[in-house]
Amino acid sequence: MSRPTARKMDSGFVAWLRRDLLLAYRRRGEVASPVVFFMMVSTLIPLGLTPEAAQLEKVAAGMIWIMALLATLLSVDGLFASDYHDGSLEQMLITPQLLPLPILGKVTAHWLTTGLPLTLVSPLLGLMLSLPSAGYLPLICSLALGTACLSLVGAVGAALTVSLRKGGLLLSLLVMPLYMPVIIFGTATVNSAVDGLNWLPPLAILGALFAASVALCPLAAAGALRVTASN
Amino acid sequence: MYFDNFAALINMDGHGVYVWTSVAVTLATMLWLVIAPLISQRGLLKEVSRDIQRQQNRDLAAKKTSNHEESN
Amino acid sequence: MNWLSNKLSAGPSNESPSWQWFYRLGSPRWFYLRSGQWLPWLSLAALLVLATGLVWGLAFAPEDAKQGNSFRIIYIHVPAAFLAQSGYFIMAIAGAIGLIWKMKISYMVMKAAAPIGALLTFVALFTGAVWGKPTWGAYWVWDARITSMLILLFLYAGVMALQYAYHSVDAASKASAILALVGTVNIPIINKSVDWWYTLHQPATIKLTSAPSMHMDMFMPLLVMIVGFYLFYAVALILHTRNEILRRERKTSWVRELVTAKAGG
Repeated sequence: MSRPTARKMDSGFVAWLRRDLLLAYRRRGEVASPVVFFMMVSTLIPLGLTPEAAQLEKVAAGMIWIMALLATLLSVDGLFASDYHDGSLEQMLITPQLLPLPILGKVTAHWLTTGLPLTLVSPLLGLMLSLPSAGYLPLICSLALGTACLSLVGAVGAALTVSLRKGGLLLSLLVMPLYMPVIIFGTATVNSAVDGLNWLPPLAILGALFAASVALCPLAAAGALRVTASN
Repeated sequence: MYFDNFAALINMDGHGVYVWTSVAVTLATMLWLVIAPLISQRGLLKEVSRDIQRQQNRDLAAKKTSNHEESN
Repeated sequence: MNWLSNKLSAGPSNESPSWQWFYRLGSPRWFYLRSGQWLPWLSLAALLVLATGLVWGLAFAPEDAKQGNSFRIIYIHVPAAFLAQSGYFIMAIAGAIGLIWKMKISYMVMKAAAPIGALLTFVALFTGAVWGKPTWGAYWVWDARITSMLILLFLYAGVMALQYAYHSVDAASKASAILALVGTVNIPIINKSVDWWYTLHQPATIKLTSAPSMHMDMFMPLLVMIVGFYLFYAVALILHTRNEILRRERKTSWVRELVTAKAGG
């Protein structure tokens, strides 16, 4: 591959990644809200279910995963929305760069500002929900991989609904069924570790899901944006 | 027939309720899938013929006025 | 019956040379007129095969040793589930054809396929639940197959919701075609992971549909029913597609000529 094209492709990814991270840094309050949401819902669980540690530890992994899913879903809605409204999305569509790369840059920025913080606070939630000690490392590993999958798949949904008013609810309707494998293998990773089983196989499957999402989701999102953003 | 008589077929050793409810719901759904498009097709065709009628009336009226002007 | 009268009116009039240039493969007009000719035969075949299969399965097939007569629900549950699943692929393929070759008619087929598939999924879920009561003692059990069906219903709901969300026909068609394709890639993954999840959490109970142990006398009616459901699906899909054609093309001259010809004759 000749150098100029390589640089051009590169700049599409890095430029949008840098831009979105800068924007996120300027709106720090907004970025914090998924994490706050994540923490708040975890307070509801002992209140709604039971404060007993013996029962909480059984549902801890699943609950943390479901909350991570909801928090991602809440934030992925805005992935393309502000770009659509201020016109920079249209600029992205007409640049000669390969469209999936800027999208991948944006998704990476989204994961760095939601998935990663959620992963980092998850041990705290595990503590609050009395997750057994064997579960912490698998929880962090699976969340790191899994939230990346969630961001990638969510990007397709966000691209499909970007020009709709009240697209948020529709987005969750479209994307939630696609999230089910991630939830299954994410919780399985943690629960296998808690049960003393080998937790690497489900984590490996999660890795495979991540690889497939990285390859396919930006393409699908690019196709979707070409259809929806022009309408 | 596998069953001795008609009553046995309906009853199916107590499982008749389940089997026949399933059959009824399935057939009703399938019937709906066929009837619903037919009903709305009828409406659409009616709408088209109304449109045609309206246009014909308009054309007729236009012709009448133009004839009237010519005779004057 | 509308299609019969259409068939009659479509007979000699569509041979007239002024309409010749419309003859192109996949044009909505061609599909509408031709499918009007197929429909009576297809409907008759579907009716006959379904009636045969139903009577055979419900009244003549022997009962299952373990489940007794409740097993007869298989003759509607499995074909419905089968078609629900294939229906999603048919929808996605139609969408893909629309995206690649920009054929108008394939988007209409795609839109028509969504509600049919969703209702068949509902039928599969309903009959599965009713079947569960005598077999497992509960209407709802988180069985792998039933859970996959439920997710399939959600996938259908997503495509339909997206279809209705857009005012522009073009955007609605293309967006839901993309979603259907994404769903198609996901369905095998979802099914595999649900299977895996099920074996992890529950010991194998009685499987509703244990195909290998099925006797030939039980299997033949099932095969007939599956064929019957396919025929029925074709009829329903054609009917819904024709409807969609009329809705989108009602301002065109060929629809007007069709209606005038019918009113005149």
